[in-house]
Amino acid sequence: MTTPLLSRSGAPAVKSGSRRRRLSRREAVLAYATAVPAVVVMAVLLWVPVVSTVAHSFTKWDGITSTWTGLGNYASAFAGGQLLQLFQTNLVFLASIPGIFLICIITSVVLWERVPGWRFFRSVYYLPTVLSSAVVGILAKVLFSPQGAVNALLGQVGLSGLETDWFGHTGTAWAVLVGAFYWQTLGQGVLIFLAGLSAIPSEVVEASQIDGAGWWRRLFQVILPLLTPTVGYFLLTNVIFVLVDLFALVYVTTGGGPGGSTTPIDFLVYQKAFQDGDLGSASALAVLLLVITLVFSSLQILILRRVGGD
Amino acid sequence: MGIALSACSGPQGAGSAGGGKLTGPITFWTGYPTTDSNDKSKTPQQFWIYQAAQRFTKKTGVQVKIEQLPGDATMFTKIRTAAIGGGGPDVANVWSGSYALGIKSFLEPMGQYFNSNDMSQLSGWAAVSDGFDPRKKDTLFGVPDGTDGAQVLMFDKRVLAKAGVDPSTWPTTYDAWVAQLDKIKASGITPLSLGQNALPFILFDTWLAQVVGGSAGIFALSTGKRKFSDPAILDVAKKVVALRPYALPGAASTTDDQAFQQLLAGKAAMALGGAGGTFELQQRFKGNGGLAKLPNVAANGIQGGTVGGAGVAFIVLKNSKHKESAVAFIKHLLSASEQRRFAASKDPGPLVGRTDAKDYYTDPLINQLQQWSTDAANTFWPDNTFPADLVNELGAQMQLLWNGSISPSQFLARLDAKRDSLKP
Repeated sequence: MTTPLLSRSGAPAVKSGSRRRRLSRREAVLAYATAVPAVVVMAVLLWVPVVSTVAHSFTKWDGITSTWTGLGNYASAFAGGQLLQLFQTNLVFLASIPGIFLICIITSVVLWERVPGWRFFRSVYYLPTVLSSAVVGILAKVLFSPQGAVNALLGQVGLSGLETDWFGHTGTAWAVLVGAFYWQTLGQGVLIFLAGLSAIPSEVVEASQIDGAGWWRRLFQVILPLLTPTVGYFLLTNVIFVLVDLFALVYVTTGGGPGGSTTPIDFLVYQKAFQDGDLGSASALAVLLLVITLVFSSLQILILRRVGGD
Repeated sequence: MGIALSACSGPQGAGSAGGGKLTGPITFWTGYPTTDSNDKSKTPQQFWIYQAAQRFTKKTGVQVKIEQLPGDATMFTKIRTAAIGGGGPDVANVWSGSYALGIKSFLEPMGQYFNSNDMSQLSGWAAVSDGFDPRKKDTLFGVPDGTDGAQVLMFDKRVLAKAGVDPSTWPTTYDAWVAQLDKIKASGITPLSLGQNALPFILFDTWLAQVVGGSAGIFALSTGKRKFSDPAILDVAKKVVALRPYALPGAASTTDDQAFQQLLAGKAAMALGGAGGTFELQQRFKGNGGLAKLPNVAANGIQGGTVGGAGVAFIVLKNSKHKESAVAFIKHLLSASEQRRFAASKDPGPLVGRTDAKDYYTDPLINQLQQWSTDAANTFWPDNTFPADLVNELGAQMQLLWNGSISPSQFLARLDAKRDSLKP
């Protein structure tokens, strides 16, 4: 039997253990000290507002005084199908994601295959991404206003019959909004997919080419399955975007109109809070939006795991 | 933009206006112009509001820091957000009526600062009173700032003359007016340039007020005692939509300023507006600008006027640490001498709203507008008395109505539904 309490040098083992403990304590202190600023920032900027929002969602609150109303704000949000109606706006954007996904993936593969001018196009596609949603929205608004460049161009090329009040009709207002969303997202999507494509071994693609797979078959049966994690990231970030981050684009482009038909939930949160001064109702809508986003994101992650993404 | 006006004389806080010691500096968020889009060389100091603030500083020693407010409803978003955060201006001038009263929980009651003599010098107190009853001084949350005058048709007399229309014999009925629009259209120019606010809040609201019988009817609609879905109001909605062939395309998504600029650019014969654009109208049309009242859709027009109010009001925030100075500044701006200077400056803004304002303007067009604004039959900003949610809905649904996406009866049904859904 050894003497576990003695070290090899004869010094008591307990001393070495205590040094280790002191070291690990010091490391722990350092770790906590390093984490504290981030935790404090997160707490102040994220968790305190979240908790406060949840608490105020059960009150009538004007920013100064609040009175308990229970589930009243939630009942109002569902009354008359208001929430469902607003959610339809988010759903239209959701439904537009496969379109931009396809455009991004095709553009990325074409650039990846180094078509003539690929360097130029890579920069051009990325340019709108550096613009904020507000800037993209203002550009769209200026271009598609009744006296804007698009109507003027249509008139000049003899298509004056197609001139319209783009923001005055729900269908055309949607077309402009989705177009602006696509334009802004294309660069980001292409960048993400090019990064993903660079990790695909070229031998795999070349082998499929030798085996006689055409361009589309290679895209859907070779490249896309290998890009599953990238696809997952692209879809997840864009689904979250169309659920909680449409405000800037909609605010400056259509203002939620015509007739509130392009108003997403986050836009109504703003209207309730800062135009109507009904911060309690706005808080309830924000909480519902958080729940909706959590559900959608969780479902997506589940599905991606099933199909093999990380 | 924020520029502090330094005191020309006297130490800060040593001044006095009305006997009490005034403290400062104060911050003023204003809608008065501090830039000129047609003359970029103009400095803020060349505008009346800066000069008036400088004179206040000279008189009292209190510095005034002037910042620009947005010209649309987001002015309230800015003030509300700042006030919730414990900040905001000491004093501001904003839209009156239900707009200003919508943020009353952040506002200092004004009744305590104004005696009956002060009040008698200004018109438009109803629009700053909660419940629109200025006799109750504890319900005053603002001070009327001039008057937006009347909302009228603005035109270039030469364009109308070319179309064979004589503005001196202006039609007073809708049908006769539409006959004139036909004549103007036949002359080759689009008769009307309308904006997204003018459509619901001038055109529709003016005629709405007429057919419901003025203030009483508007209040009945606000409170739900009367329905929008009413044959007379349906007729108004139909009459508004019937003007579409006479207007430039895209009215429902054109800002009112853009619509006015189309008139100035000669793209249309008429636009709707008030005091704000009259000086520019005269300047651009070289004295050939003209104003006319909208035609009546009710047999006798409107009886007793409507509680639309001044259009603009001064407010003082509860957060202000210099409330006495803020009120002294308001009184200074609204004094007869400052209002005379304002009128002479021809800066855009509300018209002088003092009750003694008979000879402040030399331009007959402005005097005409001011006379109409005091007319008992003047219909003025009925939306000022509607709840904010209902105003938003009216604006939103008007877009759909104007573009033919919904019928007039659907439009009114949606207004009823929104009004009924509002919490009491």
